[in-house]
Amino acid sequence: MKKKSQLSELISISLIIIVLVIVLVFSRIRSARYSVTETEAISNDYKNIYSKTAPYLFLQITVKKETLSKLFGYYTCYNETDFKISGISYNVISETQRELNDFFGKNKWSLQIQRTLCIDSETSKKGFCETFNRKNINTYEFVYPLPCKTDYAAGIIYLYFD
Amino acid sequence: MYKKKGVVLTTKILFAIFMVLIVFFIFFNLFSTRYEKNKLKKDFGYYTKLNSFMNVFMSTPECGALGRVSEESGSQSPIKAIFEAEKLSKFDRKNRDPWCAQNLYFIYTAEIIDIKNTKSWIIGPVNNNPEWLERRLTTTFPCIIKYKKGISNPGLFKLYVYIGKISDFYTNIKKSCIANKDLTFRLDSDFDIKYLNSQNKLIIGTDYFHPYFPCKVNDFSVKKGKKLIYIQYENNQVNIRQ
Repeated sequence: MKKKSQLSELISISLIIIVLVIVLVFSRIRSARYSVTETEAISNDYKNIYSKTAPYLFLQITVKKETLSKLFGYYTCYNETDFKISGISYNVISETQRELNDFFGKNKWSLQIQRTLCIDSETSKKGFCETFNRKNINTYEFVYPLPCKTDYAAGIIYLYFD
Repeated sequence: MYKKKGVVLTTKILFAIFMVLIVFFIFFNLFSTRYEKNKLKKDFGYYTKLNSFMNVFMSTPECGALGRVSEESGSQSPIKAIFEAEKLSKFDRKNRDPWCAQNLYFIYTAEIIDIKNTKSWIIGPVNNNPEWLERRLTTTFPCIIKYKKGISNPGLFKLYVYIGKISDFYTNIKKSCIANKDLTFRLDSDFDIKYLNSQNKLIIGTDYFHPYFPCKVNDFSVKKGKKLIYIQYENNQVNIRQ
């Protein structure tokens, strides 16, 4: 009889401990989950601000006296990578590479101007950019004005985060 | 017989002590988890405010963003993250909390750096690592700096946010001004704090900056230590009492 009561005492105490441990574990998990969701929310907030603004800023950078968007416009209109504007010579590829390497970092970007030219940190080629070997890519489309007619052309900037 | 009873008693006492320890340990853990969660909540709150304030600052034409404020309607037409060098120069290294973008949660310094010619502008308290600092959060964002001659250079926008009791005390004075009401604040500072209205100077320890209060704040001096501060708003003026 005495042994039975001792046993039930032990079982009830063990049950209390088990319940408390479960509560503790759940509380820790909830806290960790909270940290993860909040971190995600904050980084999404930042990403949201970033993606709406930063990828398009490079169009405003000036080289010598003209903006990059104007240089893209000249290239699209006249299909030449070397041209002169107001007596100043420009090479759309080298100017773009230098400025975007400064702005986004080396090997962190590729630029597609219409469907005809792909420029990245060190190389350029006619046609489309190949991004299949990169893992973490963000793609942003942009437009730029054309100096030869009242119209816009489109381009794509690929930003790499791997 | 007696020996057996003694062993049983000792075992029972040991078991009871063990039980009490376990229960204490579990409750301690539960409360510390709760405390940590509340602390995290506060920290995350600061990060959220930091992000949204960065967004506001980069879109405020009065602070340097490209764009204008219509005098008739008061409406703004800013272009985010493009700063005008001329506007920035008005605030540069004045060691003054800027009036153009008010923050009621922390003291901040904005630094705009031109990557091409390594020129920089500092808006807000110049010292971004003051001795009274408890915690600093920093965020950066790419930007463009536009010069008058039509040149636009790539840049970096850095926002330093200072968090702690002194920051809270400062922002509470601002809140009292804006809300037109009395506030109480529990200050626990390792530094003497002094405000000189005639020079608009807030001196914290050996460091100082020029604050921006939306109403008149009379001179005050608070010695270091734990204090209950009364921020009293009366007739568009704020008095600090202890």
